Amino acid sequence: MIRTTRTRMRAPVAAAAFGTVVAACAGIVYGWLAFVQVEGVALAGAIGVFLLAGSRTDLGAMFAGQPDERQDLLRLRARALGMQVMLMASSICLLILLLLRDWHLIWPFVVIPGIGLVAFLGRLAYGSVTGGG
Amino acid sequence: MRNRVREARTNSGMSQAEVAAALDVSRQTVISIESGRYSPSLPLAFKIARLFDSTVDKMFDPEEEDGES
Repeated sequence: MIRTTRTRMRAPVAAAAFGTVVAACAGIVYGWLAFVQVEGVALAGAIGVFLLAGSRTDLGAMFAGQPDERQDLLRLRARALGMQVMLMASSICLLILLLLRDWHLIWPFVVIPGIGLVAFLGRLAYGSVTGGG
Repeated sequence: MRNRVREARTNSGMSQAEVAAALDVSRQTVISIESGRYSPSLPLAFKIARLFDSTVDKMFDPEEEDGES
């Protein structure tokens, strides 16, 4: 598949932008040195993603935002697995915190899977599947 | 699902890269289809059949389950 520079740039630009936001937060709390360090890691990550997006691999096509139908299916399955593992890990953490009666730390393990569940049910309710995959 | 994609490709003298470019998919996908590890969608199956001047039922045999999807 032919990959355009524009689509190849999306993931690295998003990674750099997110990294800059994190670096800015780190800079506000810990000072300019923390900002420079986090921004450096973010830019290195963005360059890595850009290089990966140019490779003729399944992962490269996904990072470049131009997967074909098999790569799209592969990505869908990987996402589903990631979601299941995250939900399982989150449930275990919630259980541990309940046993420890640590009520202050419980909320992320309820809110984040809750948002995921709402998104899942929302997609089911939307109920449309398009594409040739 | 068993298919005759590799046979048709070699008969036509095309490389996997050329087939991939003609179908607008990656070379890895062509390899997966040829080896029976991936069953293409209906639109892609029609594109493959048209590329080799054949029909879907001649190219793909649903009787034999060989792939994962």
